[in-house]
Amino acid sequence: MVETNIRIVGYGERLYLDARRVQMRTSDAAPDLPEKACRLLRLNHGLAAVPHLSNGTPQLFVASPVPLSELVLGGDDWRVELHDVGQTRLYANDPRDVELMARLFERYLLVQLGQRTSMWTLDSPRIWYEAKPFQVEDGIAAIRRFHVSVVPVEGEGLGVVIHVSTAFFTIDTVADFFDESLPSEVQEQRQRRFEELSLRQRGQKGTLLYDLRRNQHKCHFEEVLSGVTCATTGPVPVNGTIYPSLHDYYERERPYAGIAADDPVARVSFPKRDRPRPVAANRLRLRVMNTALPKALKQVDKIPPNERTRLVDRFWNAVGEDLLSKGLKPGLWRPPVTKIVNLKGPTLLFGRGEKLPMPARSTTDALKAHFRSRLSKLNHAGCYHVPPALERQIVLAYPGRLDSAMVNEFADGVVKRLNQWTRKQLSIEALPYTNVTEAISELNSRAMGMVVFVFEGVEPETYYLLSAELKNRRIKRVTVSELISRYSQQSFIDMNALDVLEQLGCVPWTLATPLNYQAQLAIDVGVDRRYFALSLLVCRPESYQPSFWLDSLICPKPDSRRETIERDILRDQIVKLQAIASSSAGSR
Amino acid sequence: MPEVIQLSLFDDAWIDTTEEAQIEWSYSRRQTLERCARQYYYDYYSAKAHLATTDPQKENIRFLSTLSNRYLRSGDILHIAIRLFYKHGDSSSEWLVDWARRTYRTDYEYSRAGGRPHPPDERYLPTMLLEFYYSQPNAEALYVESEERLVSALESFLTGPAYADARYGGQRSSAEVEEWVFVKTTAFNARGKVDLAFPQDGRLSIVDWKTGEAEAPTGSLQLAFYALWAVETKGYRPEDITLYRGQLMEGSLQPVALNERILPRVRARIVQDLEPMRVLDGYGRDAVVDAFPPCGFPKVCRLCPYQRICPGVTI
Repeated sequence: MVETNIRIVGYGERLYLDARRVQMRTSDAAPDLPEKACRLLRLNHGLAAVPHLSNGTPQLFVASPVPLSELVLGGDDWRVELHDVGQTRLYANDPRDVELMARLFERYLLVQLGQRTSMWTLDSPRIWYEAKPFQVEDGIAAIRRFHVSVVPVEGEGLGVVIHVSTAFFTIDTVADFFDESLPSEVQEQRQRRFEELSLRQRGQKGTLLYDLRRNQHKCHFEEVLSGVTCATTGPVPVNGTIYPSLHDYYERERPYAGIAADDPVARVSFPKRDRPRPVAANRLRLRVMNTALPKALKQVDKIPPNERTRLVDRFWNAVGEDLLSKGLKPGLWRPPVTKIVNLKGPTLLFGRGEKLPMPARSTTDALKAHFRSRLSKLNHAGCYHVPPALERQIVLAYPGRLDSAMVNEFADGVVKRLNQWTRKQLSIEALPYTNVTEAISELNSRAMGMVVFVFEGVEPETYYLLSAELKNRRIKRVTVSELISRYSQQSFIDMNALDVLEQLGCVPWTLATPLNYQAQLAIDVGVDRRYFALSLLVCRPESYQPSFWLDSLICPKPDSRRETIERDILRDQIVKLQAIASSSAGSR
Repeated sequence: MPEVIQLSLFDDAWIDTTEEAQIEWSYSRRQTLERCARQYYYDYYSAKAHLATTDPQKENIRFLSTLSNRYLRSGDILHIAIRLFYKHGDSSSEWLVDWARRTYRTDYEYSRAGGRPHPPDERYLPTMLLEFYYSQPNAEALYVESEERLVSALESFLTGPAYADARYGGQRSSAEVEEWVFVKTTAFNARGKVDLAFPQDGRLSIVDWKTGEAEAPTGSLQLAFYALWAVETKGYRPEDITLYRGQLMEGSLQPVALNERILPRVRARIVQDLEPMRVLDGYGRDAVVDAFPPCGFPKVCRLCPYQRICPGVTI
C-alpha cells in the first residue's frame, strides 16, 4: 500500500466549477501582464484568478459566483481594464478544463489560507510558514512550512497536495548582530557569527526575512548604516513618493509595524527592485541555510513518513475541512493497487564478467544491502572497462603547511583502490604548494591530465577559478577541512577514488542487459538557468563499440531569464557530445 | 569654444576579427548580455563593421546603433563635462553647466526634427535620441526630466561639499580621469573605463559617478573591477584602495567595502561571465541571430535602439 500527501476534493470527477471570463483591455502586450493582474485581484480583492489564452488573446478566469464590476488595475508602468464577459462552467472530467480548474482551485485555496490561518508566506504564495517555530537551538528557530498545490488526479478528480519542509531563521535581528552599543570584542564576535550563518564568506549575500508583523518579505543584506536611525536617514523614495525620513514612511504607510524613530537602519535589496533601500534593521532576521545549522538542527528537516502524515493532518486541522465548499474526501489518497508499479533495478556487470543481480525482494534493508555490495563487488571483480591508454600518473597538490604524512596516507589509500579497481599500476605524486597561483603555474607546466587538488577554504570563487585556470585538466577538488577530518576514513577514500576513476575514463560497472534503446540523451537546465547539461548514455550489446559509454557536457546558457535552450546552441552541443562518443569508440 | 571630445570614432578598432580572437570582458558588455541577448548581438556583432557580415539587416542595425536613450546620452554628456572640468579647473565651472545643457539641447532639437541636417557650424553630428526617433508619446516630458537631472547632477558634482576631495584629487597630474584600464590574466582579458582614480598619501581613491537612474543595483562589480586593475597593474594592496560611489543626485559619496576576498570573486565572476560570451561568439560572427533570443521585457525594450527591427519587442 502506498499513501500519498494528497487529499481528493469531494465529488471526484463529477466536480464542476463556475467561473467568470474576464477580458483585459490594455495597450501593453507584456507577457507578464495577465499574471500581474491576477496577483492584484488576489491581494486587493481576495479573488482567485488565472490567465488563459483564448484564440491567442489573453483573458482571465476568475472564481466568483457573481459578475465582476468594471475594474482598473495597474502599477508603476502598467495599467489594465477588466471587463466581465460572462460565466463559464469548468468540468473535472473534461481534459480541456481540468488543468485550468486545478490552477483556479489552487489560487482559491491560497486566498483562503491567508484569511483563515495565522500562517504567512515569504517568497512564494504557495509556501506557507507556521506562525511559531517548533524548535529553537543556539539562537536559530526551526519553522515548518507547507507547500500547497492542486493537481488533477486521473480517475479521481482534483487532489490537494501538501508537502512539508522546514525553514530556519535567526532569533536575533540584524540590529542585534550589529549592535554598536556593545563592547568592540562582542561586536566582532556577533558580526563573525552573522557572516558564518549567512554564508557571506562563501559568496552568498545573506537572505533576510523582513517582518513588518502584518506582512513579510524576502530581501538580501547589503550593509548596516552605521550611526543612522530611522529618523536620520534623510529623504527616502518609495514607489514614487519621497518621504522626509524612513521613520516618516513607516508612520504613514506601515503604522502597524511599530517602528521607533531611533531604530537602527540597514540597507537591503529586494528581488525585482533596481536599487537597494534602507529599512529598519530590527525587522530583519537572517534565513539560515542547512549547511550553517548547528548539530542539534541538522536532522530536523528529515521527516519520516508517519511524522509527515501527522503534520499534513495538523495543516488540515488548522485550515478547516470546510475550506472548499465541496469538501474533501476523508484521509490521504491511497492509489489503487492497479496504479502502483514497482520498478526493479537491473543486474550490474563488473570486470571479469561478474554480475550483481538486484535482490529478489524490494525491502528497504535488501535494497540498502544491494547498494553496499556494489563497492565490495567492484573491489573484488574490478572495473567493467579500463581505457587501454589509461593515464597512470596522478598529481595530488596540497598546501605545504599540511602534515605530509597525513597527505601521503590519503594518497596511498586512493591509489591502492585505483590499482585494485583498474588492475593497473597507477601512482600519485604529492606536490606541496605555498599558494594556489604557484600551484596552478607548476601544474600547467607539466604534461599530465589528472589532478587531485587540495585547497583551503570553500569559497566558490576558488573552486571555480581552479577549473578555469587548469585548462584541459581533470580535477578532483578536496578541501583542507574535509581532508583533515576524514583522510583516514575508508568511505572518504573510496568516494574520492571513485570520482578519480570516472574522470580517468573508466567504467566501474554497466548494465548486464542492454536498455530498450541503444542510447539515451538527457537534457537538463540548471536551477538558475545559467547552464544546461547534456548526458548521453550508450548501453547496447557488446557487438557494438562502444557498448557502454556515459558522458556529460555542461554548457553556459546565454539567456538566463528563460528555461528554453536556444535551438542552435542545443543542436550544436548535442552534435558535439555525439562526436565525443564516436571518437571514444574509435579509441577502444 | 569649448573643446569637444570625440567619443566613439574608432569603436571597431579594438575588435580582433580573427577566429582566435579572445573576447574582452567589460562591465557594459556583461550588462548588455544580462539584459537582452538579442541587443548583445546587435551591439557587439552586427553593428561592428567586420563581424556578422552576412546579416541582411546589417546596414539598418549599424544605423540604429547610433541612437541613444536619454539615460545613456545624458550620462555621456555628464562624464564629458566632468572630464572637461578636470582639464580646465574651477574657472570653467560656470560654462560647463551651460555647455552640457546646450549639447543635450542640440541632441533634442536634432531628434525632434527627425534628424534633419544640422547647422553647418556644428563640428559634430548630434545624437539622435530614440525616444523621439520612435515617437514615444511622452518623449518631450522625458527629455525635460532628464535634462533637469543632468543639470542637477553636474551642479551637484561642481558644488557638492561631499565631492571637494574628489574635485581636488582629480586635478592632480597623477590622477586618471575617464581612462581606459585593462587587466590581463591567463584566464581572461578585461577592460573598463575608470571615472576617477587618484593617489593620496600612498592610497588610491577610485570614484564611480552615478546619476541614480536606470543603473544597476548596488553593482559593486564595476568598482571591484577597478580595484582589481589597481592591484594587478598598479601594485596597490587591497587595503590601500578606497572605492567610492558618487551618487550625484543625492549629493553623497558612499564608500564601498573592499576586502581581499572580493578580488578572487571578481576574477571568478569575469571568468563566469565570459563563458556564455565565448559560446555565443561563433554564432555572433556567423550572424546566427536565433542564438540570441530577444528578452521581450517592456522596460528593456523601451530603452533599446533596435526596436524597429527586433522581432521580440514589447513596448
